[in-house]
Amino acid sequence: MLMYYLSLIETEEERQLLAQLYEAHRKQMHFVANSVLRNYTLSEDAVHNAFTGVAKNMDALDGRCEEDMKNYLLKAAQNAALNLSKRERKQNDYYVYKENEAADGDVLEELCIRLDKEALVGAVMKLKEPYNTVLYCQIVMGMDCKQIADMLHRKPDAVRQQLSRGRKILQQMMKEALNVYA
Amino acid sequence: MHELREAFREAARRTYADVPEEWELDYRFSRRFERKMRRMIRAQAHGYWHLVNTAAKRAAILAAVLLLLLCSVMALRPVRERVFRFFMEICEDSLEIQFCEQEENLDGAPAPMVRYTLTALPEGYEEVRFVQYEHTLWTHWEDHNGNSISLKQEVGTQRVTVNADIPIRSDININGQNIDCFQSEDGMTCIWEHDGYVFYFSAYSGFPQEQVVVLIESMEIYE
Repeated sequence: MLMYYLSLIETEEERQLLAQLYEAHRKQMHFVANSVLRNYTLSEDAVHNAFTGVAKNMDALDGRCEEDMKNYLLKAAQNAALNLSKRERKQNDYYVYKENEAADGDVLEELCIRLDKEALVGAVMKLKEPYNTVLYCQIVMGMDCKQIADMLHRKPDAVRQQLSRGRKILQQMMKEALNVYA
Repeated sequence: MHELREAFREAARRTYADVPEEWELDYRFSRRFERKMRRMIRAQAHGYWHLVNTAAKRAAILAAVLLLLLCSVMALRPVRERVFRFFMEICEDSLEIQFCEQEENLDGAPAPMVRYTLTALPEGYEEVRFVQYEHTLWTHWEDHNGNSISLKQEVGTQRVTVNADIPIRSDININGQNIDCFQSEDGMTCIWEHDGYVFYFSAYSGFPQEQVVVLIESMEIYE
């Protein structure tokens, strides 16, 4: 019975948090979605889709700072808008990565140490969607594949592949940045 | 990975740097959107929200509920019989009629089978054959002219084959019980349920219908 009451409190807290986030960032989310879609009504749908995804994974917001939560919501809105506009597919086609490039955590970590902050941020900023968002969710928000898939309305396998590809592309960009700085 | 985490944070900060603050934006959401969001936030508090948060999930649940309701309703004998009759009517041209009360009949029927017979046989008719299987009893009578009538009683899932010609179907009511009669060029078949059994009475073409009523009324347990 105690567990039942605790679960009720948890959902009530989550409901309040979702309502707060909605009140605090819905217009910003709409702004971001509209910058992709250029359509107010479609952008509203994108915001709704984004919130549906966020609501599925309220655990991911536990203990996060205000800025992380805001960026997470904006990324969710941006992705929902991209999903609606089908622009995502075109971007994926543009960002062809080299399959034979190895991408493991150690290499990425080593590159992070060797690159200065500005170059690192520059490489991350060059990373396009959906890789940027899935990696943000994993690295900053600490979400697993299933949670990211729920949030972005995708299949876990697709997210797993996007994470893998995203890391490879990021690694390649970091190497390029290293060469430029060297 | 700390450096990478910070880099992602900084990249997100810069990416959305030009997004105005919430209070600076004066966009007014549509009423449809506001209503949809209010409903979603309210529903999200319920534990079952994850089960009904997409149209496909809602459709699946609705289908499951309808199936459950259908099963419950079909458990009622009067409703089941009505449905059965409905299908019989729309499939009147077909050759086979199936009774789907296997378990109930098997459970309900006494074991071993109690044999029934027709007592008010028309003059000249004599029993010429009696066949017994596990779930079937079949009695044949014949008169001097070779005209035959038969009574078959069965338990279990039953299929009766009515003549390939399009039969004419009619209902006879005997003591409050509906009896389905199918008449074709080759003869007549009557089907009814009694005491957990399904009975089929067959007669040659031209057998008078009023005689059928008398015969069925005369059905008794065989002594």
